[in-house]
Order: sequence, then structure tokens, then C-alpha cells
Amino acid sequence: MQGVAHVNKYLIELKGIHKVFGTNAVLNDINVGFEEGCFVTFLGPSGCGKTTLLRTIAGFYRPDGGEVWIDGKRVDMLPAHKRNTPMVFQEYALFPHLNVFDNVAYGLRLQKLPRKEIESRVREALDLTNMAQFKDRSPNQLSGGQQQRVAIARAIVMQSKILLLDEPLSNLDAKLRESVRVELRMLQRQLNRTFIYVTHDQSEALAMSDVIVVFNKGRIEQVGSPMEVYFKPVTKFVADFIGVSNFIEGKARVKDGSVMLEHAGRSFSGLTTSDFKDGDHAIFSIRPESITLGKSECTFDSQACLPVRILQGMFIGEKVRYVVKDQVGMDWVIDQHDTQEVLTGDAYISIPPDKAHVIKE
Amino acid sequence: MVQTQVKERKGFLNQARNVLSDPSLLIMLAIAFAFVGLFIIYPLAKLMANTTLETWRNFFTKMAYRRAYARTVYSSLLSAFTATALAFLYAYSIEYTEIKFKKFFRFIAFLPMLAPSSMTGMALIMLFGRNGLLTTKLIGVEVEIYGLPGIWLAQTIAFFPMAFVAISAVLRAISPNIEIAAQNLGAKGTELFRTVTLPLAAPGVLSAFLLVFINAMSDFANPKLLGGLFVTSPVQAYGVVTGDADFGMAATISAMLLIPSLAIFLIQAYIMSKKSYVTVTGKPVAGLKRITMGKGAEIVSQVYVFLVAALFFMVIGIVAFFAFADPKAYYLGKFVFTLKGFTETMTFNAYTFRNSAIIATAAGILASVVGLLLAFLNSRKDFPGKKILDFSAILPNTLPATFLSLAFLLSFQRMLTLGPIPILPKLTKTIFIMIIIQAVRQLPIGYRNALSGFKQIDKSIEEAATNLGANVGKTISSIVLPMLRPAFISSAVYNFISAMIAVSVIIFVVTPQWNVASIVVYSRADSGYYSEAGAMSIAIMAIILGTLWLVNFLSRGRIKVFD
Ligand SMILES: Nc1ncnc2c1ncn2[C@@H]1O[C@H](COP(=O)(O)OP(=O)(O)OP(=O)(O)O)[C@@H](O)[C@H]1O
Ligand SMILES: [Mg+2]
Repeated sequence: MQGVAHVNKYLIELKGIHKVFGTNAVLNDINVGFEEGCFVTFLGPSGCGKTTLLRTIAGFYRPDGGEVWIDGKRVDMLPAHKRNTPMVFQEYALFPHLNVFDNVAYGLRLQKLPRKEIESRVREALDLTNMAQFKDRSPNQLSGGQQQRVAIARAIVMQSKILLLDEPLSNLDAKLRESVRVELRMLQRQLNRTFIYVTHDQSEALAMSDVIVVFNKGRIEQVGSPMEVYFKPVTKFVADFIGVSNFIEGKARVKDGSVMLEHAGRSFSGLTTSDFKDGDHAIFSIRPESITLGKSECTFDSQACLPVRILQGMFIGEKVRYVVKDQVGMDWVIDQHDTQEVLTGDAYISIPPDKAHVIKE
Repeated sequence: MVQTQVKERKGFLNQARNVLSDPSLLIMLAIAFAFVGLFIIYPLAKLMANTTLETWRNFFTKMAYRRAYARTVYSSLLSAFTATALAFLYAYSIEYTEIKFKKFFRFIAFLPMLAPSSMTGMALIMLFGRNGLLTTKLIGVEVEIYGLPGIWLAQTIAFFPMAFVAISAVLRAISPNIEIAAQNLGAKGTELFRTVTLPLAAPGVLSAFLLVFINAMSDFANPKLLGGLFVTSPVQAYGVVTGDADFGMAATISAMLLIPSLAIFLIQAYIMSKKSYVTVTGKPVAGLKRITMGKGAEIVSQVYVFLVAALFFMVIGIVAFFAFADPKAYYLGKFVFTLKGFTETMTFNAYTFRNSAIIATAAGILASVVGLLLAFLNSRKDFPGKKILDFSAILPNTLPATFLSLAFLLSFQRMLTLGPIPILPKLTKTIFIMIIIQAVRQLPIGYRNALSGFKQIDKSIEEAATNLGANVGKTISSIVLPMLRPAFISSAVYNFISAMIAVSVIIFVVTPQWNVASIVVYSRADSGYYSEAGAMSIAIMAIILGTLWLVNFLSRGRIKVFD
């Protein structure tokens, strides 16, 4: 067992959480901790258990195994109303019979705070969310985005060190979503609280988070910074789920600390964070933007170079995206920035040695 | 990695542990189970315990009992059939045609529900009886209204609103889209009715029929007033208790009344759990109207609803006539109108109105509160015994009214003890038994209303309250109650009205000190004092109409009791 120091390191710690609905194991041995002041994102495909874990932290579900620790106290036996883990619901869940001010004041009134204090704290929360001028409106007189802000104000007014958000932006249109995203991140920095934010939108996760927790089928695939999960995915699932990637697989050879792999008669080398022995199965993940496409054969020996046929080239704003087929029949996705033309026909792709990330599985 | 199989924490112990961790939930469960256990399950068991082998043998060997039972069944079938058929035509006319004054005719459909059901029976006697206004006095013929024809006609009118409510709800739930789609495919007129509307409405119509049947089976007042020699089981049970004080025999007769309704209840519950195409909805598209009838059929509909309304007005009219006609002059064939009889009756029976008001108000509120509590627990919480609670909450709808009444009489004659610990004082001859039995009778309505209210509240709203620190009690008082207020008030008012007019359900537990107005209507009519009974009926109707008006006025039309 780790000592007290370990407990204090994290504001929220989940130890071996299991949750089962009927025969459906929705959460499987979740072990992770989050420090104070972090913007944490739970990311994963639909149905992977993100909401379930968030609601387990909030106390709406009791885990079928494992422990939930918040601020050095074990809370998984504590009923939801005693946890002080304010949450922003996907459907906002504003109280329809109360106006904006009373919605935000609800939690403070339950704490029987003095009237003056309630008023000033509500005002502050409404100012932070730019909703002060709507304080006398009833929720059904607000737009979706405004209701969203009230829901956030109602949660932050609680002054808990934690704020839980379950896909709070999913009911907003794309434009609004992007601006609220930025605001939320600024709000989190300003308040310096731990936000746990659930989403299945990988670009949202990359843009906002300090820490991303990638889920798949009730398990954690990877915990890391946006850079880490993007450039150093530890599983094929993560590499595939976040962004677009090209995969080649095979038996690894280890040479001078880098991992080598044969594909289409060429030798590829890549970097990894895992230990490899000769003969281990390796997956190389190569991002589309790491590959260059040209009409002539590559000049550097260090680069892996493959002759390909261009199947399709699409101009999508800041880049051209190609789909090409190599000589063993594999499709590659390649992004070329700073280009003025769309190539067709036969061509070559080249991959610099340090751009392939090697995954052990 | 070590693979350990983690199982879902469920079952009795885990549920119990969840319950124990929330004291306010624990208290609510204690109240719910105590109420249901003491006032639904215990009386049922107690009544059964009063039957003996001998009473059962008597029932099946003695002609009188079997005959009464057979008569009850077939008179109830007849009444249920006519009430349902007439109500279906009425509801169909209102929902499917462009007849005039729909709102008015819709309201008229509820009229018989706004007075004690014995008013209908009494009106028939006043019109067609030995001294009937229409037959003897005006036309000069004698018809035999007593017996099956009287019961049949009175119950058809008295139970019409009940069938109407159920059927019109189903017709409204059928999406016009479906019918418009069918019309679009070429179905028209009667073809549309036969191939689309009727099949969709059939389950609702059937359940209306069964509902009326169950209620007719246990109806006491009208068969007592009009039966004559045609004795039905509830009347017989009453006679056995008041005449011979043979509680065992009465219990057996009542238990026999329970059998068909319980069977119907269980079969319906089974079917409901299999499928529910009664709720074929889909959003009604604004502006889409179904017009499925030709001009001729529409005129027929208009005439039909008018005739039904005229019949109801005739019932009320004759009762009002007797309430204000001088009885002595009437006997001599003269019509003299005076307020004297009316005011005398009112003065003399003022205390029964006071009792009625207290009991009906308390019962209306109690039924709604308990219904709300049970609905909350059932739709929002997980605890051991949930199924039992749900079943018990709708059971009183199935218990024949006279059965319930006798069961209460037998159950609460003495102080209840659990070993040496007293748990409930003797309730008979107190106001409490009157309140509680009415509340139990109305509980299914309060419960169902609240359940559908909860379905409309997104669960996450309550979770948000919990999340902000509200315990169960606080969530209810600050979130659930305010949101359910309109539904709560309308169910309380509805229950109040039902309690104001109830006769069968209190017939065994009513005492002179706590006598109520609806019982006076029946008992005066039974003794032949039609003027007094008429005056009481009119006054009760006035009170109920006044209440409805007041609710409508205070809520600015937002709370609809009948809808
Ligand atoms: N109360 C419940 N009872 C039974 N099964 C449930 C319950 N809640 C969730 N599940 C199941 O658990 C799994 C995970 O659900 P969860 O809501 O946590 O997914 P999610 O990752 O939040 O997905 P989404 O992105 O779609 O919101 C799903 O298969 C879901 O069907
Ligand atoms: Mg979710």
C-alpha cells in the first residue's frame, strides 16, 4: 500500500472501479487519479462508460467494486446529496418553476447560508457566466446556450473543488460550441478547480484538456496530455480514435534503440516508449501529416520510401488529403499542407524515421 | 492481468443497504408500507379470514345466494354493455365530427358523475315509479320500473361518465396522422372506422367495459332502490349484515364479487406487460384535423349527443322538480312549488354536509398525498418490495366497493395490536374510518395521476437537486411538489368529488354521528322521501359545481379536473 502521501497527491482518485448493469460490465477496473486544478476529459466512443463513471463520482451510481476517493476521503458509500460534486447535466436540468437567480441560489439555500452571502455569490456566478442580466427570467424564456450558462453557474456557485460536466455542449450548434469551449477553459483556469468533462468529440478533448482519459469498452486505454495521446498513443485504439492514422504491423527488429519493421519490402523505423525485443509484434502508427507525397523518389536514405498510386485527392481548405494505395494493396491517408495543386497518378510517399510511433500490443 | 468476475450489486441486501443510508427515504418507505399494509392488505386478509367452510358451502348450496350472484353478473354485463356502447358513440361524435357545442356536450357527459349515483335511480322512480310523474301523473299508465329494467337503465346512466372518460382518452390518443395516412391510402367513411379507428380503440373500449362491469358488480344504491325482488349480491350482503349480523356470510358474498374483478385485473396486468398499443401516439400534427364523417352522419351525431344530454337533464330536472314541489300537493295531483321543503331539509341535514365536506376534503388530500408518495417511490427509487407496493396501490380499483366497506368494518372494530404493542386504535364509529376508506378507494387515481406526472418530469431535474445537496425529502418539497402542483390539485379535487358522492364504499362503516350527505340521499330515497332526497342531491350537485368553478377561477382555467 502507498502511504498518506499518495492519497494527498490526487484530489480525485478512483481505485479499481467496477460497474455492472445486469450482465453488462460497463466499467472494468478503472484506476486513475486527478490532481487539483486540472481540466480532465473523459473521451471515448458512445456507450463506453464515460457517463457511468462520472455519475459514479457524483454518487448517482454505487460502484460494484472499488473505491472512490475525493479530497482524501473515501466517498463511495456517501449518498449523492452529501458529496458536493456539482454537475452540469447534458439536458441542463434547470428547475422550470424557478427563475435564473433561484436556480443558481438553490444549492446555497440548502446550505442555509445568510441571505447576503447567497446574493453576492449568485451574482458572482452569474457575472462569470455572463448571465447577470437574465436573472429574473424563467428557464423556458432562455435559449439553449443561455440555459447552458445557467446550468454552469448553478454548479460553480457551489464552490466545490470539483465540477463535473457531461457533454455540456452537445445540444449547441457547432459555432456556439467552439466559443463556449474556449470560455469554459478560461473559466476553469480562472477558478482553478478540477473540471471533469465528458465528451466523445476528440477535437474538443484535444483543445481543452490538461489530461485526457481515453476509454474503450469500459476500460481506460490511456491517460495523458493531449500531446501524449495524439503523438504517443499506447494502443492502436487510441491512435485510431484520436485523429486519423495509418497502421502497419509485423514482427519487430530492434536496432540501436529504435524499432524496425518490414513493409512492402522496405524497412521502417520508429520511436517508442515501450520495451521491444526482436520478434515482438509491433504496430506502427503514422499520422497523415507526417508523410510527404511527391512525384519523384525520395532522396534521403534514412526515410522509408514507397511507390504508390493516388486514388483520390481532396482539397479541404488548409490542406489536401490524399488516399493512396501502395504495392501490397494497403491504403494510406496523407495530408499535404502548403500546396497549390492536387496530384494524380503514380507517386512516392516518404516517412521520416522518427515520425512513426510504435505501439506494442 | 487477473480477471476477476465482478457482479452487479443487487438483490434485497443491497437495496436494503441503500435505503438505510438515506433516513428520509426510510421514513417514506415506512409510511408507504404501513399505509398499504394496514389499510389495503390487512382488511383484505381479514375479510377472507371471516369466511368459513360453512359459509362457502351455504353460498354454493343455497339457491338465494347463487341466484343473486347470477343476477349481479348479468345485470352488470348488460349495464356495462349499454354504458360502453353509448359512451363510445358519444365520445366518437365529439372527437371525430364537427358537431356544434363540443365543449358543452363534453361537460354534459360528466353530469351524472357530479351527484350521488342514487340520484339516477331516484329519478327513474320519480318518472316511472308507482307515483311517477311521467307515467302515472301525466300519461296515466303504469310501467314496472322495479327489477332488472330499472337497475339496467339507472346503471347505464350512472356509469356513462366513467366509460366516456376512458374511451375519449383512447380516441384522443390515436394520432390523426395514422388516420390521415389511411385516408390517403384510400380508406374512407365506415371503412376507415372499421379498419383503423376501431382496432386502435378496441383495447381502450374493452377496458372501459370491464371497468364499468366491475363497478356495476359492486354497486349498492341503485340495485337497492330499484331492484325490488331482483336482489343482487351487494344488496344481499347488506341485508345479511343488517338483518342477521352474519358477517361470515356477507364476507363470502363479497369475496365472490371480488373474483371476477380480480381475474380481470390480473389478465389486464398481464396483457399490459406484454404489449401496449393503447398508447399509439405520435405527436398530433398541428392544424391536422380528422374529418371522417359525411354530412348526414354528422347530423345524426348531433342529434344523438343532444338526446343523451336531454336524458341527463331530464334526470336532473325531475330531481329538482321533486326538491321544490310540495309533496302533499303532488300526492293530490297538484304542482305547487315552494322553498320550504328544501330549506327544512338543508337545516335538518346541515351536519351531514359539514361531515361530507370534512371527510371528502381530507380523503381527497390523503389519497393524493399517498398516491404521490407511492408514485415517487415507484418511479424514482429502488427498494425491496417495490412490486408489492405498486400492486397494492392499484388494487383498490379492483376491490368491489361493498367488499372494501365490509372489510373495513370487520378490520377496525377493535384496537389493533402487534403482540402487546398497540398499533392502531379502534376506528369504527369515528370519522377516521370514513376518511381512510374513501382515501383508499381513490388511491389508484391519485397514484396513476402522480405516476404520469413523474413520467413528464425529466429525472435529471431531481438528480440536479440531489447533486446540489438536497436529500429525498427536500427534493420532493422543493422540486417535485411545485412541479406536480396542477396534477396534484386536479387529482385531489377529483377525489373530493368522488368522495362527496360515494355510497357503496361507506355503506357498512357509516354511523349516525358521522353520517354524510350522499348516504342521506340514498337512505331518504329508500324510505320514499323523494323530496328530501331530491333536495339533498341538488345541494350536493351545487357544491360540486361550485368547487369546479372555484378551481377553474382560482387557477385561471389552467387546472382541469375532467380532461
Ligand atoms: N442505468 C442503466 N442501466 C443499464 N444499463 C446502463 C445504464 N446506464 C448505462 N447503461 C449501459 O452502460 C453502457 C455505458 O453507458 P454510458 O452512458 O456510461 O456510456 P457513455 O460512454 O456515456 O456513452 P455516450 O457517449 O453515448 O453518452 C451502455 O452500454 C449503456 O447501455
Ligand atoms: Mg454519456
